[in-house]
Amino acid sequence: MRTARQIGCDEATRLISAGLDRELSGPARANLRLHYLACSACRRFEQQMLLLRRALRGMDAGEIDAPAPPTPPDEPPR
Amino acid sequence: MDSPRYDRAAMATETDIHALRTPLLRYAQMQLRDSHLAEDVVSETLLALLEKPDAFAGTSSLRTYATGILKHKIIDLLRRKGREQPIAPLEDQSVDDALDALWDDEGHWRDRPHKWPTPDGALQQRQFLSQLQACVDKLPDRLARVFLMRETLDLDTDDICRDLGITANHCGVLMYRARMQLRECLERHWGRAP
Repeated sequence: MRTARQIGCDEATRLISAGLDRELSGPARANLRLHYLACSACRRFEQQMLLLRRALRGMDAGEIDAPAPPTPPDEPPR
Repeated sequence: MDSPRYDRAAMATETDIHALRTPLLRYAQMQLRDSHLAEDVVSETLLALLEKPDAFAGTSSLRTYATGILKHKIIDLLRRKGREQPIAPLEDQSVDDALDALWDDEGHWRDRPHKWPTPDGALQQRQFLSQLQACVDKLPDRLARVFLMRETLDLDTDDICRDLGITANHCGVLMYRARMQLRECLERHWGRAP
């Protein structure tokens, strides 16, 4: 009875982010599932988000004491 | 003060505990962005370890155990701080514009996410975490605060919003911005790694 709606990647990424913080509603899950069928980019985005979560949750104090590698200035300070 | 606790094994542990100071400080600094507060929570953590050296049962590494204690102290502190320093309202047009620029007219990615090299092995894992930390350090303060409470301290989203006195919707927007900015940074510095 519910019909999934076509959503764009902008909306899909917002749903993926929301789904990491709370359970999505049924229609939102359906929309996202439909989107995943057609969009490998957003599936990859989800994998990246899950990798970030695993890395940050599992991070031990000792693992980050190495000096951060120098990063080129890639954006003006906000 | 002689107590049976301070035998040779416990003394060795004490040296180990002191060696944790620098890594714990680095971790606390990432979370709190305030060197005085970081010093405070790390001192409390070391003290807790020194006072109860037997509490560490050796089921995890001492470092993991210490990180767990430190996290709890950081959570307590952030909760107190959250009540004292409310999060500023959303009004960052430049961030919205930057996010809008990610999508084409149909709402699809302009630049598709790259496949990130899986951080396998100790060295790669370490490089990834270093880069991740450098990217986290670039997040604006309030984004970092909300995001890290969720992702490193594993707090419930509703609790975070309540502690910070912001709506669930506001919280979701901050979390999304933090994730997108962090992803962009890693995409540049890790996703295209040689």
